[in-house]
Amino acid sequence: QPAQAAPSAKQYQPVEARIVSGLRESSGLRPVGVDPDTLPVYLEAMRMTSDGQDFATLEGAASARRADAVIKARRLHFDQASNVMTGTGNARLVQDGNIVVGPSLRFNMENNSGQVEQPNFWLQNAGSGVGSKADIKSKDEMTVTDVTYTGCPCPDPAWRIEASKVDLHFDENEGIARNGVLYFKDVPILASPYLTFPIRKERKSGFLAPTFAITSQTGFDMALPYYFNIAPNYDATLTLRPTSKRGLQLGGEFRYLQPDYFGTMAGTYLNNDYQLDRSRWAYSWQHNQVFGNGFYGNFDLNGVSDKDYFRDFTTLAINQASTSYLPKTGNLGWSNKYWQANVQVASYQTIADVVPQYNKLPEFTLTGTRFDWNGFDIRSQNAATWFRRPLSDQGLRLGPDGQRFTSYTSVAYPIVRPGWYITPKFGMHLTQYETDWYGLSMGGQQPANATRALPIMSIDSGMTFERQTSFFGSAAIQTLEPRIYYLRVPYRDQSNLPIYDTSLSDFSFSQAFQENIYNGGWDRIANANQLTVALGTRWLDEETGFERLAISAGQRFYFADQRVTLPGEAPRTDVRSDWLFGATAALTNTLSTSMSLQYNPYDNQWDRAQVTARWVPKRATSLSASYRYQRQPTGLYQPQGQDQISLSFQWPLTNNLYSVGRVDYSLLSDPSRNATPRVTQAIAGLEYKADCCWAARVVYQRYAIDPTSVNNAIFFQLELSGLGSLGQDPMGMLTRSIPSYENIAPNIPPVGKFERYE
Amino acid sequence: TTPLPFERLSITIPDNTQFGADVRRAIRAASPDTVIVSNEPLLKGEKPNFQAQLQQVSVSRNIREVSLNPQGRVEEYELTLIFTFRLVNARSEIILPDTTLVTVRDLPYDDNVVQAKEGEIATLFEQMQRSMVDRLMRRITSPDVIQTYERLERKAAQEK
Repeated sequence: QPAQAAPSAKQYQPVEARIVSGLRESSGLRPVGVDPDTLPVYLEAMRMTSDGQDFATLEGAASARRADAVIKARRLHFDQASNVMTGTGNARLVQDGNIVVGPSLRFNMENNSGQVEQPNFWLQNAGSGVGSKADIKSKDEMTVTDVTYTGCPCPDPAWRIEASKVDLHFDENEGIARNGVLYFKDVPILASPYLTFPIRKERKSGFLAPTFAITSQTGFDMALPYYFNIAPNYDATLTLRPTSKRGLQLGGEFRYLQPDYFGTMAGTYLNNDYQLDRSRWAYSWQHNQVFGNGFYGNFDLNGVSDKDYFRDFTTLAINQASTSYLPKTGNLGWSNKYWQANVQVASYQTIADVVPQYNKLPEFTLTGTRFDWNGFDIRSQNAATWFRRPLSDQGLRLGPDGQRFTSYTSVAYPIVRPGWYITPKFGMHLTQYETDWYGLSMGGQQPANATRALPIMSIDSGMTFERQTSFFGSAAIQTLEPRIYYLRVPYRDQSNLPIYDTSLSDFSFSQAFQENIYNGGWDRIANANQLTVALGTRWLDEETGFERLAISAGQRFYFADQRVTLPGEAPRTDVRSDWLFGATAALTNTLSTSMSLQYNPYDNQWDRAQVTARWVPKRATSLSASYRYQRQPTGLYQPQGQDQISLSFQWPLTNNLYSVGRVDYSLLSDPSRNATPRVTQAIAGLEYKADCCWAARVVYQRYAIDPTSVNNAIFFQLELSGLGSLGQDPMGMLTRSIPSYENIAPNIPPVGKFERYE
Repeated sequence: TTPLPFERLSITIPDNTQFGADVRRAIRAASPDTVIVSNEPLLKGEKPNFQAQLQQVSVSRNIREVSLNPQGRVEEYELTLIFTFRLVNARSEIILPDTTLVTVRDLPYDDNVVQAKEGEIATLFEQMQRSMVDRLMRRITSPDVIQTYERLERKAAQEK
């Protein structure tokens, strides 16, 4: 479904004045609170006859002018008694930036109503048309019969609607065509007894740009979204998605925004999958609520009918096809400036071949923070969690269940001075476990009750030296920044504690300065007596402080062997860690590169490498390349091996034709993981932006959905400017997958209210 | 480092956060003569108690999958932290227009340990935010910002 801009708080505020491409009418130009009856009318012509009381006849380039409207014709007759102006011969009415022209017109100056025969009209939104008769009902409403309308301002419009009748509601920003046929380049592409379109470019009910696709899982696949602009703070999208291999899928999305709550509900339903002979569905509902006095609540519910749902039905996305878990979580809490209390219930639906996660049924947390209090930063995190793990598909028990109580309170005293800082920190971590092991053993007898108390001490300090220099010919400041981090955590035997939500962190610059090599809920806290040393240097623009180049290197030194491990993890006995190198450079304003490397001094080889370069020379033009390498793991809990090249681009071929593409190629060969060199993701597309009012895209996508199969899909889309969609990027995939992607579709600027003033 | 030319500075970054506290400490260190005043919302007609205000415009966190492994599962995420701020004077004139700092980190992912990775993501974002303090300081103490502030003050004095 095409993404909609969230109904933001901004849209929720009532906006009185109309906003036109960033300009707002000056209130000085609007006759505020003036009764049209009392406005003076100025008459002008070559010859004027009048009986002085009831009527006036103007001949030869006649015009009647009032502050809010102008009428012109070869001959004008004004009946003072009925306040009706009749014009013949090239008559034209100009009002609020809208122009109606015809051989004759009748206009009631009192209630702003009138008729124009055989009208040609031009609207403020750049839309225009011809009809057999225009019936002006009020300042805000006009009906045209036997009409040809287009929202395209070109001499030869790319699209038009032919209808027996069109109602234009200017204040509601809506045009309604009865018995309308939509032509694109003289080819009828849509016929409907009732067709609505927006007059201005604002949120408006109507069809959004449909998407046509052919995919390996669904066959011919068409998505027809219809957007309901229910209220400024409510909207909905219904999508009909007929597919040849699976049947008709119905999709819906409803969004709401109120001062104290907001959320999104979405779902799809397919009654009878042709291939599987059963129904397929998915739903999600996110809701956030503020109860006042610091109380809040939210929930996020997701579910699908079966494990293959996303593999079979996802189009235009890799993020869902690769989803492994769907969460169902709910939170209820209270917070003020210093305290936050929360109760959470979380469970996960597993939809991939991975082990089920522990559910939290429930988790209570109490967090207190006080920053910069007489120089101290104080933080206390406390949690009580009831863990339950679902049985495997075969009904096997995968781990113990139990309760965990943790409390971690720490105090830091950062001393910051010009050119240096030092931050001593002390914390106390307390944990208690009550575990039902179900007879499962990690080797030895596992106790039902266990406690752990650990002090954690660290000192972080750094310095900054700087000097004036030049960088590629411009004045720059170069800094030199050494940093030292010392961490001390005593050893406690933790081999009898269960593992609920803890794993080994990946070693990196961030991790090297953290208190624990494990992350998540800290079911293990590694003993530590270690020093991390890093040196960085940066070149900054002298005038602006903009960072041009940054290079850093670091290493960790261990004064004690690792004694705390996860089950099966091999303890470290080395005294030095990998070398870490990092560099980012913005050499010019359009080219940026970054690199991070990890070198193993014992094996003399690279453990990890990442190099990325991105070049964005101008709008909608970009080129990115990256290489990622991760050495094959030598033990449990280490990151998976990776060896991948990725290239992506958006590049104009001509003024109108753009190409987009991305290829990810995995060089990894690992029989144990069923991995062979293959393309994991590929996108190739052409976008055509016509000079006038339309754009079309063809995009081919291919992505791996499991070790052996891929999903192939081809999408086609036609976007007509000035009709339907709100000009958002209808293919969110391109935005997500191609770094720096920009939509090429042209925008039609509306006409200013006074641009057509005569 | 250059001392800031204003004596009274207001900061709209919430003070009881690690980032808010770090920024305040960095400003106190860089410019000891600058007093950081509280940023109570102004009543109508009330004169601001500051000469300059550091305004937090937006903070957003994005998570994007950057690569799939040969099994078609996410093996790496890219975390992006985008922080936008500006500096205005007491007359709401802009000393430093909206300026965006971006920090990007890659996170190798393993969907067998989702909850542990959630914790790692939270920790990474916190560290990314801390790493922005220095860049923020560099920007607001840069010569062009100080010159703009002084030019606006001279202009206001002349108009008086």
